[in-house]
This record gives sequence, structure tokens and C-alpha cells, in this order.
Amino acid sequence: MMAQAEVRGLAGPEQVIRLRPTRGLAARTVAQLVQTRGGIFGLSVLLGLALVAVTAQALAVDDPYEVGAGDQFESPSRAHPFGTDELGRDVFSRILFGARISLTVALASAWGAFVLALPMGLLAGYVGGIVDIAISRLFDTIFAFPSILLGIALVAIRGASLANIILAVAVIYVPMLGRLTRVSVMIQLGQEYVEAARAAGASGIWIVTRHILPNVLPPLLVQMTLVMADAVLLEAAFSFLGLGIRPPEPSWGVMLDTGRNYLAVAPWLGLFAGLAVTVMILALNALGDALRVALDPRRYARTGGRAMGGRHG
Amino acid sequence: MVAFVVARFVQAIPVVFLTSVAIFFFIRLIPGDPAVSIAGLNATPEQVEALRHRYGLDRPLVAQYLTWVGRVAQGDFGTAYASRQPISHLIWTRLPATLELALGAMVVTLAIGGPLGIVSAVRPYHPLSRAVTLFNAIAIATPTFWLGILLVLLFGVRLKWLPPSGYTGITDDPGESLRFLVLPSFTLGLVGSAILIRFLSASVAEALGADYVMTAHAKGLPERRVIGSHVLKNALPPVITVMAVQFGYLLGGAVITEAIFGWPGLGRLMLDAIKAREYMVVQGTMLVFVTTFIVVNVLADACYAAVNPRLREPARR
Repeated sequence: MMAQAEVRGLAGPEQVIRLRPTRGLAARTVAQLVQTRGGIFGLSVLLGLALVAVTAQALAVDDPYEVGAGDQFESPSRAHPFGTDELGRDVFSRILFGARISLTVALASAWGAFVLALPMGLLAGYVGGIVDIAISRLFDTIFAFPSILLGIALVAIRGASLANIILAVAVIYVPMLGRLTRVSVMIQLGQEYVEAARAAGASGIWIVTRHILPNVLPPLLVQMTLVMADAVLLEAAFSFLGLGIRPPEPSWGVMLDTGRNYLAVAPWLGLFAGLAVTVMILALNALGDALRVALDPRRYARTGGRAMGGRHG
Repeated sequence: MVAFVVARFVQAIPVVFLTSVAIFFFIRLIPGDPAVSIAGLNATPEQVEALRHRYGLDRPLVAQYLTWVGRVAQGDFGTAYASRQPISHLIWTRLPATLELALGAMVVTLAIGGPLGIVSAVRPYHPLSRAVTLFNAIAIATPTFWLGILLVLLFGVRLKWLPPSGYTGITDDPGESLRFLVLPSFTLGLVGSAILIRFLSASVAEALGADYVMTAHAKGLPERRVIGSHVLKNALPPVITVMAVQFGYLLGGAVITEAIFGWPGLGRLMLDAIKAREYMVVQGTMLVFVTTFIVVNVLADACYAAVNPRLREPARR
């Protein structure tokens, strides 16, 4: 209080305001992101894909469900840029609509995992003791399952639907985000400023929301972009295995699954869908890496955990 | 050393226990009565009831769980509903194919990732190292199912060099067996090599900056010797752990690759069981996967401790 009053006394109210950062965290982060090649690539590709997903209706050449929009297995042409599939549907239009499914799964499951993991991680880290042990063992148990297997089991139990895929992916990544939250909380609790706040009489809730959360959120945000990349991959994988989204829905995984049956006659079926999945994951990984640097240059490590396609066998 | 490994195994026991509970109750959450689906559509209520009794499905869940765990501990996973085959037999017959694929993938991973990882750390500005960085970003983002399809398309359908899918036992016809093994191994192993490159080059780069490396250079050792006997000896331990975990994934998670290549391994067994609603089989294979995964992780820790004496001492803080 004294220090602030003194500053005000010396410099006047205008200067006091200038002592704060001139732009918000979001604006600064974006400004930093566009300074790296990876950040520009990730951000622009994702914005492009989001735009495509939103305007799919207008951009599509044909109705993605319309059987016989062209002949069966037409190779890519001006009328059908990515060719047509086994039912004569326009592959380009189906890819556009597939972006909707992939982005929905990515965003919803990353937020789902965040919403489930944050309170658990905060509780485990802040309360400690038996609560910490219980929550940590739960995380260990979920973590012991290879993610694709856990996902397959969850989707098989709850039935194949978009909502259940999102739920399954969210559950898979709760331990990862939860552990990160827990560790960050513990690190912050050891800092002097928390002790000072406590000495000044701040309540537990005040300390958590005002002091700990702002320090926990940046690394969580980085991890969430990686969860999104894995979510895109897992949705495609479930649908590819026939356990996820069902035909005729234009999921990229479904298109890959059909595509592999017609490799000899219509290779473009699998090619474009797989390319779409890969580009989206590349962009999310690049964005995650760039975010890691933008949000905390000191903690940047080369061996950071990107989403790894191959880990899902 | 022994105490360390034993301690890690003891720590893993509650996790194995909890996962077995999780698997058992997960499976019970599946909607529908297994007895009804076993009996078929035309069964009378009495027949369903008899089946329910026969499989012990009318007993309390906790009792069912204890019986299951007790039998599994003796190697009895129960019998499959439709084929009436012992599930342990199903798992044993699928194991060789899964092991073969995991080893094949590991060979690909080490053959590509090993040299490239070291080169990109030792010569970070060499054009090859830049190419490796690009390869990594793409390999990590490429889904296995797409990579598999691309390889089948190129080498199986277009060039016809290799069979697009199928399997022959290594004891039946070794040459043919290896031909079938190439494409799935590359599908699984290529991404593993990208992971290996990341960790290996970071680890080697760190070791290169150490004082003893400067000393080794200063006393005039040829670079080959410096890298071989000083840098790698210090850089490899953490990488071994990562690769052991990767091997655990290969043993358990090759569901997609096995599906693409018609590979008769454990992943296929589980996938088919899920589609056929053979819950006892799903339960058994899941337990095998998860236990293998946990055991491999523990062994990885043990390897790490074996090559890094500092970890063997119990932590004193």
C-alpha cells in the first residue's frame, strides 16, 4: 500500500497505470507467437481450418452426404478437386465437413480434460495428505492404460457417438493435466510470495485464485494444445477402427477406413483424409511448441512432449 | 540395486491392483446383459437364467471380481463365450505375432533413430541435421494409420515389392514371414525413430557440453573415441528408459497397425472381441496389456538404475 501511494505521489496517476503491462497477456502472447516460424505456421493453419469448418457449407462443391453427386471413383478434377468416393460423393466437400468434427472433438475434449483436471490437481496440490494420495493414485491408474486402449474401452462401453469420443479423450488426458496442475501448485506453494500473502492474512481461496492459478495456467495451456492434437488423432483412430463416428458422417477417420479398401482403384480417398489429419496435428504441435516459448522462455526445453502419432500404434 | 528393483515392483503392485479393478468394473458398465447376448434371441428366460448361473453372473460383483482375479493369478482367464476356447490359449497363440511385430518395429526405430539422433547432436548445422528436424516434425504428426496406408499403397499396390497385408509364422517360413513383417514394422517403427531422435540428440547435446568432453578433446583423443566412450556412455541411460517405455507401447498398443495389415496379434484379438462383445476376452487382453506396460516401465527404471549408479542409492532428502 505504501509503495503504491509513494509511486502515485511521485509520478501522478498516469504513470502508475503505465507501470502495468501495456497489453493483456493474450495480446502479448499472440505478438510473441507470430515472431516464430512455428507459431505463424500453427496459428495460420489452424485459423484457416477453423474458417473452413465454419464456412464448410459455402465452400463445399457438393452436399457431403449426397450420393451420386458424381460418378463412382472419379479421379480428382476441376468439378471434384479431391475426386469422388465409392458412392460418388464429393471427397473435397466431405473433407471440409470433416474439419468440423475434428475441431469439435479437439476443442471440446481439451476443455473437458481441463475442467475435470484443474479442480482435482488444485485440490491434490493445495490440500495434500490423504486427498493428494487418493487423487494421485486415480491419476496413476488411468495413466497405466495405453491411451488408445483406454479410449477404445471407454467408447465401446458408452457406445460410439461424438459426445462419448469427446468424453473418452477428456478422461485419457485428465491425469496429464491434473499432474501438471498439482506439481505447479506445489512449486508455487513453496514460493515466498505465497508465504507473504498468508502472513498478510489472505484466505486459501484468495491465494489459490489470485496467486497460484495465474502461474498454473500457462503450462496447462501449452499442454492443452497437445491434448487437442492427440484428440484429432484419437477421433480419427476410433473412427478408422470402426468404433467411433459411423458412416455416412464425414469423419476423416471414416474416410481413411473406406479409403484403405479401395487403395488400388481410388488412392485419393485415403490420401486426402490422411493429409488433412496430419496437417491439423502438425499445426497444433507447432502452435504448442511456439506457445511454450511465448509463455515462458526460461522453461523452454527441446525435449518437450509433443503429441506423438505413433504412440497410438 | 536389487533393493531398488524390488521397491519399484512393490510400488507397482497397487497400480496393477487398481487397474484390474478398473478393468473389471469398466466391463460391467457395458449396457446389456451378457447372458442374454450369449444365449441368443430365441432363448427362453430359463435358459438365460441357467447361463447366468453357469458363468457366475448372478453372484455379487465383488465375489465375481475376486473369483476372476484368483483364477487369473493361476493363469486361467476364463473361456470365450462363442468359441468355448480358453482365453489364456487365445492370448498365447497371438503372443508370437505381437512380439515379432514389436521387435521388428524396435529394429527399425533403432536403425533409423540411433545414427540420425547422434549426427544431429554432433553436427547441428549440417544440412542432414536440418533434414532430420523436418523429418521429425512430420513423422511425429503422421498418424500410424495413414503412414500404413501410404506404405501399402506404394510398396504393396503400386510397386508390388511386398505383400500389402497378411502374416506367416516365423517358424513356418522364415523368409516369407520377414517379407510380411517389413511394412508393419516400418509403420510402427518410423514414429518411434522420431521420438528416439528427439531424446537422443537432446541427451547427446547435453553430454557434449560437459567438462570431461573438453578434457578428452584437450588430451588429444580422436573425436570418434570422445563420442564413443565419453559422450554416449553418459547420454544413453535416459534414452534407454524412453525406448523401454516405447517397447511397452509396442507390445500393447499396436491395435491400429495390426488392423491395417491383418496381423493376428493381441491388438486384433481385443478389437475383434470388442466388436463381438466377448467381454471376458476384452477383460483378459486389457489386463495383459496393462500389466505388461507397468512391468516394462519398472524394468526400464531398473535398466536406468543399472547404468546410472547415482540412482541406486535410496533418495535421502
